[in-house]
Amino acid sequence: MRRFVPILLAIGWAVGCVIDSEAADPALEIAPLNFTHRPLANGLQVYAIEDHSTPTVAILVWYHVGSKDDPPKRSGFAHLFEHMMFKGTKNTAPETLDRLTEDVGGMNNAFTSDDVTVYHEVVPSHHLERLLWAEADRMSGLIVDEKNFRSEREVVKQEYLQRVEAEPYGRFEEEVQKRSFAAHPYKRTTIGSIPDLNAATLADVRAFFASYYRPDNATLIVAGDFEPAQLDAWIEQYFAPVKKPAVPIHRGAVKEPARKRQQRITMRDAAVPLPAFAATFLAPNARSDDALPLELALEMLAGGESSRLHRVLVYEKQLAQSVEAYADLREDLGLLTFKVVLASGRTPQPVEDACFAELAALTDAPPTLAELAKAKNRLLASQLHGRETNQGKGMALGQAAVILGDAERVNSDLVRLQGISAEEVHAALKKLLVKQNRLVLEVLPEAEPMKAKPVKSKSVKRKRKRK
Amino acid sequence: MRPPHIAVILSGAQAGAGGRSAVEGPGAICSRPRTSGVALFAALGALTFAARAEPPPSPDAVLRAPTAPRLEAPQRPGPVPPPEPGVPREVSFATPADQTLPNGLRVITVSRPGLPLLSAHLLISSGAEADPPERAGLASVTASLLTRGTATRTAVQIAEQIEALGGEIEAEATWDRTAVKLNVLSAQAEPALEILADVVRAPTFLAEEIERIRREALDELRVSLEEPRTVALAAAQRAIFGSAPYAHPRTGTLASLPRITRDDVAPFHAVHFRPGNAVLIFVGALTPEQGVAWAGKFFGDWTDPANPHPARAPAGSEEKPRVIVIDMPNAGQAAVVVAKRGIARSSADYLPGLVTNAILGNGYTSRLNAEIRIKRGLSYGAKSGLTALAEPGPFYAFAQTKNSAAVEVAGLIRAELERLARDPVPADELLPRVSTLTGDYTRGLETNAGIAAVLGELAIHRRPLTELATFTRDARAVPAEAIAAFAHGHLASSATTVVIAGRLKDFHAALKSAFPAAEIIAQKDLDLDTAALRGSEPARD
Repeated sequence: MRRFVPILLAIGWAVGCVIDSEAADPALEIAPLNFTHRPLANGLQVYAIEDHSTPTVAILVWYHVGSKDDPPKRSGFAHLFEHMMFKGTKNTAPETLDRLTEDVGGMNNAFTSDDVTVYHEVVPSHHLERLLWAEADRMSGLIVDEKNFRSEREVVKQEYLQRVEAEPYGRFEEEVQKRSFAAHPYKRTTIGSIPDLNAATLADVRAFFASYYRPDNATLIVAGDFEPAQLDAWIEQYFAPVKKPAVPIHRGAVKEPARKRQQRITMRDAAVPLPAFAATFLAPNARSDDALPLELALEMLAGGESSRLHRVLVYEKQLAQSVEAYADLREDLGLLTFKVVLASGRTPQPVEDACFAELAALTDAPPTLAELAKAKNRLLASQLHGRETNQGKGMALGQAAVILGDAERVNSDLVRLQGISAEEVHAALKKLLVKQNRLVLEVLPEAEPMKAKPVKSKSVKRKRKRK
Repeated sequence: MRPPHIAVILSGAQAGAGGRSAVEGPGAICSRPRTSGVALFAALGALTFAARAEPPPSPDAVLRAPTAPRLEAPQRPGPVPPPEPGVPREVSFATPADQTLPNGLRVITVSRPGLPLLSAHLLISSGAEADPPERAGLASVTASLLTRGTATRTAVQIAEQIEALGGEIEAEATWDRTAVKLNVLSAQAEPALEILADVVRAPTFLAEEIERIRREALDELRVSLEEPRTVALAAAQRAIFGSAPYAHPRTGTLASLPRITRDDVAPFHAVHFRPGNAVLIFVGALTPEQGVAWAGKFFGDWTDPANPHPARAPAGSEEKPRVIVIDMPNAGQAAVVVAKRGIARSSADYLPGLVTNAILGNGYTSRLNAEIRIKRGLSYGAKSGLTALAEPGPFYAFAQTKNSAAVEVAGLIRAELERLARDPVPADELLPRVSTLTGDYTRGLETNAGIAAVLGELAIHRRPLTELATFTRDARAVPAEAIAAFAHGHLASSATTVVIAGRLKDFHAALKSAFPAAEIIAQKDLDLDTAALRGSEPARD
């Protein structure tokens, strides 16, 4: 039985302000994600979302380990390991997951972020049992041989080249990530570095599996067309027997110090076509009460063509070729990132000044109600679009359960979003956008001067990548 | 319209990823390239057909049960096989309602109650192929300008108003079509549709806005011309089409964009944007009756101009195969493209073509990815795409690799084309690859926008909308013999053009021995406006 959460959209304000419209506070009824939760004795958390509208099912396994857990001198290892999860077990040959998914019209993939590694599949629903079997199988142990390990490591090195070296702003973005954290492992990029990848061994693979790939560090989500009793029986059959190790899971404890003074760094890269700069600010973690207000603030600043930065920098003043902003709120702490590529013929300083003037305008005074309503509508619409598919529902639930630590927030955050005030947004942003919390990195399209190379690691790394 | 200049990654904006994702946010990276051969070609506007659709394949594909433990010494109990699949469930499709207004506007509606969302796509059956000579990018510039001012709204007002409704309007010209796509909360459908109709019907094309769009387009071009992938694909497109309508970069060139004026844009709009040349597609929380009523309310008094819609320019004959290297000294990787003209959407070989491409380069286990990535570790992903258009569209095989391996990868791609034309495809390979193809199609139908895209492709090419429901069955009926025949007839390796964009010094020796006749073009001399790909004037330093 579905319950409906009435969500009041503050559209009346928005519309009333810009269009002479009859629309008045329409209440939108949004079906919540109805999910069940069942913890197993071995620590595995199991969530299920039943939906029979299409005969497909999505399976997601979230391991609570990410690139912040890369071993010392092994940056990129969590991600390299993710690739090894497709390379065979005692019961399966390499690429068996592909046999079980794409060969029958399904798909599979996986991704690694700073905090989690997620494996996911979508299959016709009569194949669900096979995927549960396969996920339990690889949760129980891998058998990867040296040849497969080396070959897949080469693939990851090509991935590095593709993401970092073959993208005009790849090295710049890698540098932004590295420079934005002083101590926390977030300063390492998820893709890692070529020397660290080269140093990795099969022994590292075994050790990493033993440390982190265990039922009490995993969350299984099944979303779509299944019968609950049957699903429970399969989970009992395949996942309950997976052993939980006796040793506790290692958790890093490095704290990132607050920034004390503003920093400005210039790098040169002959491959970039136009100058660019990024400004980053340390921010609270994803569970913070400020998270939603900050997401709204970033939406106002850079979400859509009518956002402040786009309108002023790209449209009105034509100072920028592009403006992007992320509220990248991670598990331990967050980072607000503004990235601006200059329009041709511009020099960085005036563009930076204009950018920071816009940021200051939103820290000087709260946004208007119309602007707040617009940001809420955009955020809500993007959440809803994300929930059109079983896979998308599983992603939303996993984010809440694993990163936010409370699965119910997959629903309650949408309600809370509606009640956030302009003052809350203003206050959350104002705390962060202070000069001493600001790091600016600019890149100029010039060859690096030959002499006096700055002391920086020889390996280039990077990570952020969108779309 | 080009992608928005600004994006806040607040939520999983990536197709299909969904969810709010600080998680899969800016930093996350995947084990397999995310796009299935589709987005790859989007840069050039090739709409790949394999892009979406269909019901899960039912009776099961033959599963090659993983038996032999090729890994380490067998464990004691011996390998356990996976459980057998269950009984497939039927897939049903909502039948699209399909009507035509008195003014000639075709209206297609699919009702999907559930989430309070609506996708409305207004398609014009003319796109970048209609760009006049020396005006590459005109259709694209015209599309971008739609939301930059109408008789009653400024550019800023359009953005403000649509975004306030939780909506987005994107306009983009690709081959054979210009799409103006609205996604919005369904509670706000009426005000959003009023804006959609306004931007389609009454754009003003102010000189100031044309200038802005030009500068933006030129800067984007400057950035993308540093990407080996974009350069290789654009050069290949020009090489295989010569001076035919699909030859030029859809978003324009450094030379063509400065030439475009209001005297080009306004007539382009007047000629092509007319109800008789348009289709309106609704998918989401609405009824078919509502769809027709809204179409009538916002587009009912739109009329065709008196002059007839012009015929398209002929495609001409196929160009001679070439081997071209674009030397990009700063490129950290080389992009390798093997390309050829393919087939038209109306071709009887359409489905055999899709299946052939599926074997070759669609999905993780396709032959190209197996040879280049899985076996040799030479790339993060290799793939191919066959884009069927009104006229024969492009076929591409593509991989990005370390510079030193560029020539080897080109050879591997050509060898796979030869094998495909020579050897019959085994049944236990054919069925899984077809399933990959049909599975992609079906998953594309999981979202409102995905359904609208598939319907749009069918409508633009005047295909029956029932293909939505018959695609899987018909793809599975393609016989194995048809594949070698298609590969032999349409994708002969000796007739393909090879383009490598990368750092030449890293593969010069290999190039000389494998392709002694290769044309070598310095990045600074690359001229995408001519079939020769090299400017006639001496290069300036």
